Amino acid sequence: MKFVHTSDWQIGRTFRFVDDETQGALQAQRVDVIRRLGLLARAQGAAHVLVAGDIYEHETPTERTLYQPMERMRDFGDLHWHLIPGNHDAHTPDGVWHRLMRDGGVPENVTVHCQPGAVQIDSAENVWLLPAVLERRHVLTDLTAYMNDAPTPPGAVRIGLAHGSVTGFGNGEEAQHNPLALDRAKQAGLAYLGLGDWHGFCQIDARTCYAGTPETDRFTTGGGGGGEALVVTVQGAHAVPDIQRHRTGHYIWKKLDAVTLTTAEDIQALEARVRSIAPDNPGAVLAWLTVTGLLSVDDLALYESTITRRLRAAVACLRVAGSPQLSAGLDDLDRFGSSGAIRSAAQTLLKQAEGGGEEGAIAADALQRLFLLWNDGKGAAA
Amino acid sequence: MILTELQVEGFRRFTAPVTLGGLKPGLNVLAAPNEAGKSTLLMALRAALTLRHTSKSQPIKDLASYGGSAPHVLLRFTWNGVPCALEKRFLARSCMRLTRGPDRYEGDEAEEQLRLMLGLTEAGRGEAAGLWNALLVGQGESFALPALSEAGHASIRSCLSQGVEVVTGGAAASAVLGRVKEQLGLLQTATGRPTGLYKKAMEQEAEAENLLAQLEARKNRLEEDLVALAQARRLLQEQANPDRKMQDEAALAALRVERDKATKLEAEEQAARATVNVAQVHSTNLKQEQQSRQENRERIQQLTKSQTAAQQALDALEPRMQQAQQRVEQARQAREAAEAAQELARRQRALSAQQAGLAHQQQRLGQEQASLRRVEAAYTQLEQAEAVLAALRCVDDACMDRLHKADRLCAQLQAQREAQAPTLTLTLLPEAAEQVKINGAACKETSQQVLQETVLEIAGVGTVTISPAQQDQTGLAGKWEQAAAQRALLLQQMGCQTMADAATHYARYRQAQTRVTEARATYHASLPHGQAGKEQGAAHLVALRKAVAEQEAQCALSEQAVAALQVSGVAQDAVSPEAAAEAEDQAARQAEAARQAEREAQTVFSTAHTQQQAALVAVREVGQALQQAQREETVYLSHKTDDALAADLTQAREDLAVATARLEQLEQHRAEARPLATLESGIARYEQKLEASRTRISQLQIEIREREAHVRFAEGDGLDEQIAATERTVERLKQDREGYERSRAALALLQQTVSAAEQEQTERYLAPLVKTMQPAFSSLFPGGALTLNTQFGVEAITRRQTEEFSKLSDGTREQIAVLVRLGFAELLQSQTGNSLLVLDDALSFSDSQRLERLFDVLTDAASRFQILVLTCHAESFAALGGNLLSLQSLESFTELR
Repeated sequence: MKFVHTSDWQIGRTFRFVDDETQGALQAQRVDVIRRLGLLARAQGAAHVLVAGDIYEHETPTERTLYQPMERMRDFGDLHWHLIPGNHDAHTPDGVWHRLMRDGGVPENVTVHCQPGAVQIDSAENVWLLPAVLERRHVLTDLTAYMNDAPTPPGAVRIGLAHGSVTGFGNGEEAQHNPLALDRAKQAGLAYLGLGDWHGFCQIDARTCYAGTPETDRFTTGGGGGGEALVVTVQGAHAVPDIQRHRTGHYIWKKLDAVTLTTAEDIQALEARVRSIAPDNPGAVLAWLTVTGLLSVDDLALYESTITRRLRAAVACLRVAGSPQLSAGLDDLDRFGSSGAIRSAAQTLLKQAEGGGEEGAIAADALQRLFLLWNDGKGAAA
Repeated sequence: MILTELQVEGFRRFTAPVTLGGLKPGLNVLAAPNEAGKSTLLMALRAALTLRHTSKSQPIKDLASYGGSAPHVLLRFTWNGVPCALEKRFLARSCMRLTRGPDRYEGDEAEEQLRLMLGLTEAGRGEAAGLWNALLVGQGESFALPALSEAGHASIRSCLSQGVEVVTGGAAASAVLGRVKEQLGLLQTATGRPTGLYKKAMEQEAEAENLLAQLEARKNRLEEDLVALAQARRLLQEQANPDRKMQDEAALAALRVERDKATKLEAEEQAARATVNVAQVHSTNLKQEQQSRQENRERIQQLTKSQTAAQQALDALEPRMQQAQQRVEQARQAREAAEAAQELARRQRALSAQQAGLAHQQQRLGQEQASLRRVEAAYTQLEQAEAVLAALRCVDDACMDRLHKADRLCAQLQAQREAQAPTLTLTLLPEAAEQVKINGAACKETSQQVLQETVLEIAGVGTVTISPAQQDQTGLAGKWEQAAAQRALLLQQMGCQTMADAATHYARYRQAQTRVTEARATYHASLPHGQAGKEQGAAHLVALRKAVAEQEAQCALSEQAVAALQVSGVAQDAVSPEAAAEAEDQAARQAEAARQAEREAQTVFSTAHTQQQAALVAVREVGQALQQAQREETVYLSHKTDDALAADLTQAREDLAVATARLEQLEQHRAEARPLATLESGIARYEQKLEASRTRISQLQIEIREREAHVRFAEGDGLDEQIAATERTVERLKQDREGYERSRAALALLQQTVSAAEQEQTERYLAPLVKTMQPAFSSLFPGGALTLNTQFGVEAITRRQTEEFSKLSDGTREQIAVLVRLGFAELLQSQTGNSLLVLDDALSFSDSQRLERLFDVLTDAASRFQILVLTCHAESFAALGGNLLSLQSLESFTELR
């Protein structure tokens, strides 16, 4: 028995820090990854895809968002998709699943498991699926507990599917909601327990894994960083499953903390570092830089052109926190001439900028603009 | 620049070509009357230098001639010593040609060359602007300071920066400032209000926040709907449970059956109770009748006994009545006798009292009469004394005082005379006395004073006349005689002859007065106390007499009363009043005792009478009651015999026992059953419950449909997704807005800082301009100083004190404005070697002295650059001198071919 384990598609998710165009692209990739999952299953010869919750980001998505994943799955009629609700799309009355089922939106090859209890998904190999069903966003009880006593025929391969946080895994506060026993697979005699909720791959034990989201959606995913799906092969009811990780994500999210810039070389190094994340496809990179440092007038201009203009255009999203400060001295002011109104104004602004504080920051900004205007003016004159 | 010729054609009044020729370096003056076309020449010059030949703007159209032909102008001038010519035709067949030495330009190229030469920039509507505009001063413009364009400012700055080594970057500052303003203008208005993208970001942020609030409100409503929907579904499930409904209906039916049974039982119980009541009443009635008959019979027996006793008591009362009546009569008689005796005793006491009073009156009358007699005697004596006094001459104390005074005066005067008179002393023999007579009288004295001529007759001897030595020299004799006469008159009045006689009369009169006083005192003393009066002596006497008479009359009346009492049968013997009173008191006591005895007898009689009447009434009442009882007995017996009554009573008691037993049985059944009210309320409760359930189900179904519709509407909109998207929009707009705010703050600071620096720099390099203008200014305003602002305008002038330019007189302002333009021209000339100043009808408000000085200034300036003065005041400007010009017509306009 071979199947694909995935979770946390979060269809309909919005991204606040990107522009509208990138946001559209990111959202499109979250839907397209279903196709890649289907292709992966086909390629690996898996007949079932188990999705461990959070198919949707919101409890009330728009009609288009609601039907998009269903229609993608419909395209793979040879595969059987098993879905369970997650904390984002819990099976509440009049919730997303109710809407879909009420309006006949669930394709035949898709099963939404809305009741706990063992369900046979493969009669040939006597494979039974035991879904845990969240009926509210948060519950304080372990919904997998029933699996211990859920009856299945002798010799059945019992596969658990749940959405929540395993307890006792260094995540005390997080595990207060939707807690899952760390050794549920062992307790319930499961051949494999597929989990959802964590967006990065994480293997709890030989039979228990978080698949993570197939398309990364944040810089701080943890675990394997997301963008993966698992192909699991179960040889028997008691055999240790074979778990293979496969890359499914399109975008690469990378966070670079504490980047300090003081020279032109630093700027060039930073550019190289970002471009090296995906040298072949920088357009699939989302980078979050936390930048500090002091740059001279020319270096600041270099920073503006290299990072702010070129690199920003090269990647899908360049999120920059902080900025290098202008490190201007009297020598820098000489470019305004040895005297004159502009030189005098620049000196005044430099003095204010050196005073620091909010007013100092405004003065530094004004001085930076003066340099730029002066350079532009010279360029125009030239 | 030296202008040498100006040809004009088709400009306003100049339809035909004219030329202003003969222009030379230095000062040139065109003096011509009004409407000769001076201003039109200036317009043509301006048009040639500053207006683009291809422009069709209104200023160009305004230049067209009244005949409608196209404006056409030709300038000939030297530029840095190189001869140049400029031709421009506007509107129809517009063209431009410019030659500079061997170079020749046409059309736009010529325009550009011209603008480069003059340092002009495009100012819109085909017009170029620069410092040259300020040097071609039209009619009326000389009153104001030149309004310089940015190009004009730049030109001046250019001139100044060339002259001042330390000033650099002025134009750059303006350029930077211009770009800062431009960028800031994209974010805020001139008044600092947000505009452009910044304003749009703010508005969009507000809109997005508003939308977000609306979405969240809808989300809240959706959640409320979901909760309410779940609740409604649970309630509906509970309400619509068929088992529960069936149970309720069965319970209702059972209650109704039980209610019917209870109702029937209650009716039977009521009927049984009525039967018991009837039997009870019948039995009681029979029992009561039986008892009434027994009681009536006992009463007849008792009444018969009472009647006999009452009659006996009545008979016993009769003798007591008679005895009491007799005693009453006796007591009445005794009382009448006692009352008669009391009356007699009263009269006796009255007589005694009258008699005692009479005696007292008579005694007092006697006393009064005696007193009257004494008074009458005293009064008679008084009358007699008064009569004696009246009979005497009145010689009282006053008369006597006057007489004694007159007498003493006479004696004094006599003594004085005698003292003055010679003394005649005779010593005669006793026998001779008869023989010697003095003034005829015998001489009795031996010595006497000779007061008057005295004749001493001596018998036998003869007469000796002795005369006083002096004849009354002091008048004493007269006075003495007067006094003597006065004394004699007084004596005469008193009826006396001499002083002695007067003394005697006076003694008698005094005695008579004393007697009258004594008699009056006696009289007064005799009067009763309280009546003494000094004046009305007789009146008292009369009153006394009247009082005595009245008392006498009263005595008479008393005597009559006593007599009357005596005749009424009272004892004649005099009885003392006390004894009479005692007798009367005794009689009164006896009479009262008799009355008391009568009252007691009367009481005894009344008591006996009352008892008798009561006994009579009792006898009568007992009789009547007896008769009544006997009649009732008769009726009873006539209705039903006693045996029959007893039989009926027995039957009635049996019936009552049967009915009571039935009632008790029914009551037992009722007590065992549930109360009817409870059953009724139970039925009502079940009916209401069923009805409410039906209504509630209907309501819940409606509510669920409505809520479902709300939910479906909201879920179709994808509220959560919309909220997330809107939150993202809000955040991004906020970032945008904050970015704009930071930009605005930085740009505003930059603008402020660069402006301040530029102003500071400008002030520094204004100094050469002031320096350039100062000589001309000092010529016109000796000792004065100029203050320029950064716009190259005059801020103020300082002579003895600083005066704002705007507050100066029109003439002074015009002169200063001309000086400023002269300064600009001077600056331009010194820096570029090319300048020109044209003044059209300027300085017409200046006084002759100032005008003279201005002419000197202009003449001096004209030594450095060309000045063209156009004026209609030929005589005033004659003193200016210079090259006089005149307009001349041309056969044809000279084109630069």
